[in-house]
Amino acid sequence: MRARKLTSLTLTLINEHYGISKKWYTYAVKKQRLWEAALIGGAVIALIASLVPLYSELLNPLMIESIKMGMGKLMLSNAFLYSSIFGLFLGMFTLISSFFFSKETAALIPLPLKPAEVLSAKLFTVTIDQLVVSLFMLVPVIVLYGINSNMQIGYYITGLIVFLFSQLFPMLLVSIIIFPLSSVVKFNKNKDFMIFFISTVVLVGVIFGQYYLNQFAMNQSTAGLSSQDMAKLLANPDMFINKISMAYPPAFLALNALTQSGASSILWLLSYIGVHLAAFLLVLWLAEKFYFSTYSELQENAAGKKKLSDNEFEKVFSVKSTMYRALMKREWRYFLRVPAFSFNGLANVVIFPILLVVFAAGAYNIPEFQALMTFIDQYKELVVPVGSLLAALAGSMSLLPASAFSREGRLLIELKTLPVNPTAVIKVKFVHSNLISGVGVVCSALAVGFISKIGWLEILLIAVTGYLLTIFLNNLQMIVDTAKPMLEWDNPIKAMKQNINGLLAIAIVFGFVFGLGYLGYITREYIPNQLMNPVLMLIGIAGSLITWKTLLTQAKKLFEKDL
Amino acid sequence: MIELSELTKVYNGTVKAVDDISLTVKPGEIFGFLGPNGAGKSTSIKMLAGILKPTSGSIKICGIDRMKDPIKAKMNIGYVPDEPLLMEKITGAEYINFIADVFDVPPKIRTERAQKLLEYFKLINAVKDPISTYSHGMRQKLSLVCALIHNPPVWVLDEPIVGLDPESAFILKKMMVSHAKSGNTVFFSTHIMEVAEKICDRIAIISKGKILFIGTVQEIRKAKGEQSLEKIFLEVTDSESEKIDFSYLDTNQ
Repeated sequence: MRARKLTSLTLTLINEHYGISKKWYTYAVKKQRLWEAALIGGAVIALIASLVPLYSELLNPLMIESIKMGMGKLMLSNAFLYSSIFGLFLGMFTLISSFFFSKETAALIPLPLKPAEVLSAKLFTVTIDQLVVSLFMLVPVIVLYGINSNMQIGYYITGLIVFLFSQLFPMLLVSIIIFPLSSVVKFNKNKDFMIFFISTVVLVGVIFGQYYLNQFAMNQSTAGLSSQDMAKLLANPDMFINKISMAYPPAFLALNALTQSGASSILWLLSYIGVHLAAFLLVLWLAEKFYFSTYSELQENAAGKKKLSDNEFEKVFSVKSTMYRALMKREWRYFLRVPAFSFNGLANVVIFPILLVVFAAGAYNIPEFQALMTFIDQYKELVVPVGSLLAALAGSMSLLPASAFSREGRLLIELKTLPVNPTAVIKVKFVHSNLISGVGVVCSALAVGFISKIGWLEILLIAVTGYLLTIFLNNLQMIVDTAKPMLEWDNPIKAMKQNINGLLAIAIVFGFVFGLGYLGYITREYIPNQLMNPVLMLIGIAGSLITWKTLLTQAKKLFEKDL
Repeated sequence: MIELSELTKVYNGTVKAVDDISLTVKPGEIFGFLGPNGAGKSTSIKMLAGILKPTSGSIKICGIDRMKDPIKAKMNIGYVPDEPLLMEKITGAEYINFIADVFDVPPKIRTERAQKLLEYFKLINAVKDPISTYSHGMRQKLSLVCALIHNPPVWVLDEPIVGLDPESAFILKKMMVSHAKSGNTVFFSTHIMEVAEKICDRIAIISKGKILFIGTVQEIRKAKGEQSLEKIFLEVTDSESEKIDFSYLDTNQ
């Protein structure tokens, strides 16, 4: 009986999560927004088409060489490890919001369901989502290892099972941390703290992970080992990455299940499944203990009922702002008080320059890095234009302009009912987005300056050119979002991360930056290096001016539209 | 059927939303829970439904302790929140089926009940559409259908009339009366005094987390004089709204 309930719950949650019925209704029944379906299909095909050469041209030769050097197993364990780490970082937010902040949880709590049942169904749904990570990071390695090592059918069946379980452990790990933590930290008072705390841990983890790996690589490089010694060292279980694989039980068990044969392989596979089962049972126990009580705490919202003194009252209400200032305050308050917006917006623009500096600091003594520096020295005159493009890339990756109106959600209706001019709204969103982007541009210019050791004037030139290009790119992103904002969401993170406009923005930004870079490369014979930055500046200024007009027209149209 | 005993809810360790309330709602009774905004009505109802955990006190539904056996207690409740809690990307039919699965409603019974309820509330033609396409009123009606699909002995409804069209409101009121007549219990909150006056067997007035009055409408009239329930309500809750001169709002620019 309970199994049937659990099946119904899981299927319903999967349907709700992926909006299967809604999509079917929109595309098949109503035959509406078919362009959206075509766009998603096209993006998936383009992604696969661009990844096939990457796997066949880059990964396959690497795998062949690795197997020859006796390092094939290391490739497998690393793929497993990295897909798990990536899955952990990417799935953390989704899992926490699915457990505690999603609308469907509110609908499930009053129903006669056990916390463990709700948790199992949610965990299963999020894990399916996360399998995309393994699909790109783990499956190609398993397949290529199998092909190049002439593995039999049993290997591929084991590989399939390993793949299906690959994202479960990271999600179980998050659950094991979050449930006991919820009993210590009173999240109802610190709801935002939970998101900030976890986000910071993740960000710091990524940065330190990157730094640690680089430091390790540096130590190995400076030890003066020959390539043969290096191969031996890499195959040695004491190696750093192997240590992690051993310390991360699923990677170790999966590796043995895949690479051993017969009964031994089956035993390792059973152990692999057993570890997941044990962790799952622990999570179920924790859920029964903490899940619903934590959720209940999160619902405890009550007004303070504190009476304001006359002075306080006057202080609050006697300040008058112009319409523009009032809109600007609204924009900033909404941005800063929704951690999903503020953290994502800021993190997206600073993560790239930070990683750049950390990588450079960690890899400074590696011969390959030194070679790269010598290469940069030879083309010093290209540092400023390339740096400008990188600054533009970092600055325009905030995803804030691509969600300028999507982030409003249903609040856009409120905005529409107010006597405000769409131009004022656009101006506010323009300033806000570009100020956040400015942080990314400046950080990137400084990072490029730090690595390539250029002067302050050149750093300034990178910042200015990068900023002009960013404004242009931000305008393009805002046009996309103004044309079709995603206003229906129950979780703010969806407005940024599960928004098709964000996907389009990434395509525009990457297409523009790499397109211009490629164009610069093929025209390097005809355009003097000194002219490249003025040309980029001109593109930025002209592009910003032209798109500004379109943006205003689009905004007016949006405010006239039925929402 | 419903027994609240010394029920208290304190938010953030400081705000007492519900302060030591005790009441019993018997089988066959329609019980109205009245009170101004922020009085503690929804908090009490959320504790009944299992969304909030009481700080102290106990809740019994059909003799089952809500805290000790929450699943069994919930099986006896049909709960409609003040804001419809529905999954929006699935269709109405899928949602009803899911709720029926959770409450173990046999297919034959669910088909019959769903058909009747959907017809009453005029949702029969929308049931195959995603809930996101529904209006607020339609969502409220679907929420009612889901709450009643498993024929629970106890209905707990938080302002169920809000958002309903007059015909649906009339149907719901009739259903509430019929449900109570069959020996079941209806516990609901409302701001509409006429509704409370017309259909409630007993009412409770709650303000600042405390129950100020509990009894029949006749009993409250006997105690406070023959006047409208609205006036009695304002008097009991110490409202000074009657004395306010609102002409100020129309004279200042």
